[in-house]
Amino acid sequence: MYFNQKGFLPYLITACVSYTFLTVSMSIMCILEREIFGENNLSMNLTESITIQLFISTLTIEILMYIQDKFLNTGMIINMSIQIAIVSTTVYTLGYLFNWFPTPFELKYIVFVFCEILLVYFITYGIMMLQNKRITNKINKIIQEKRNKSI
Amino acid sequence: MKLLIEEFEELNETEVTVSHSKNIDEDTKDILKYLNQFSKTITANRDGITYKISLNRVFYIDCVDNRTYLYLENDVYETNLKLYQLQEELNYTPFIRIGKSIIVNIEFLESVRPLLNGKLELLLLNKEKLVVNRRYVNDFRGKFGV
Repeated sequence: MYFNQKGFLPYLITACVSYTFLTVSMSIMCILEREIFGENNLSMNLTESITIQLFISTLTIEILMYIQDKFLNTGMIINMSIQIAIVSTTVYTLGYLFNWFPTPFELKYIVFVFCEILLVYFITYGIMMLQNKRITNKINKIIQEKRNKSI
Repeated sequence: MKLLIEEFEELNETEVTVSHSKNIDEDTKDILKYLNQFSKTITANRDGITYKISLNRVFYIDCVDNRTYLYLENDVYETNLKLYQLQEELNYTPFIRIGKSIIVNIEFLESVRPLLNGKLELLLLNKEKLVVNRRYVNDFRGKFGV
């Protein structure tokens, strides 16, 4: 498969942004749960190996999204649904392989993890949208200037 | 920048000569890009008739089921050229690839807006909307020097 390094850059940046929000949100949840309930039942402690595993998972997600964007051209809603499906499948699969989840993996854990997936997904893409908004404002200004010149 | 316009009665076709220093500035690059469109044409068909379409009339090029279509303001023409062949031809022109099968002419852009899934939506002057795939966002930005 042809791999465009420059084309992968936005995906790598997204992986870094989502990794940052994932680790920060997990740390906050961990602290909050311990403060409120005295122990961690839902959230997991961030150890050295888990932080690396989390980066592997965010990078894997972005590689899969790069492949998806290469082969599938769909509308925004379908595209976002596919992206959330990719994130969920990767997180549950890697979580199972890396033993992130307690056994038995009850419904409350599945729901908790899915809520966290949605939270990180929308925060990450919200940040990326703000970044793109800054870029599109500049582009729109250039388009407008060109049009004014030609008038 | 100096602009010299000369009239020669013996010329059948307009000739444009651009004289620049060794270091080309951005304005000159823009002029060259713009002029390149006029010197290039694409052979395309519509209703069984073959036409020579000037690039400066093409809003975007789309490839569907291995067939390549040229979209003008209101008309659509089919060309025998493949998208990769056109992409090579369209270097140093205002055309830029924005998706697996789409090349757009940035001269016909009305505005750009970001989408939540990391892509960009383009509004063309003929009110058609196109989406810039995330893989091509950097190249698209580069075309504007942003």
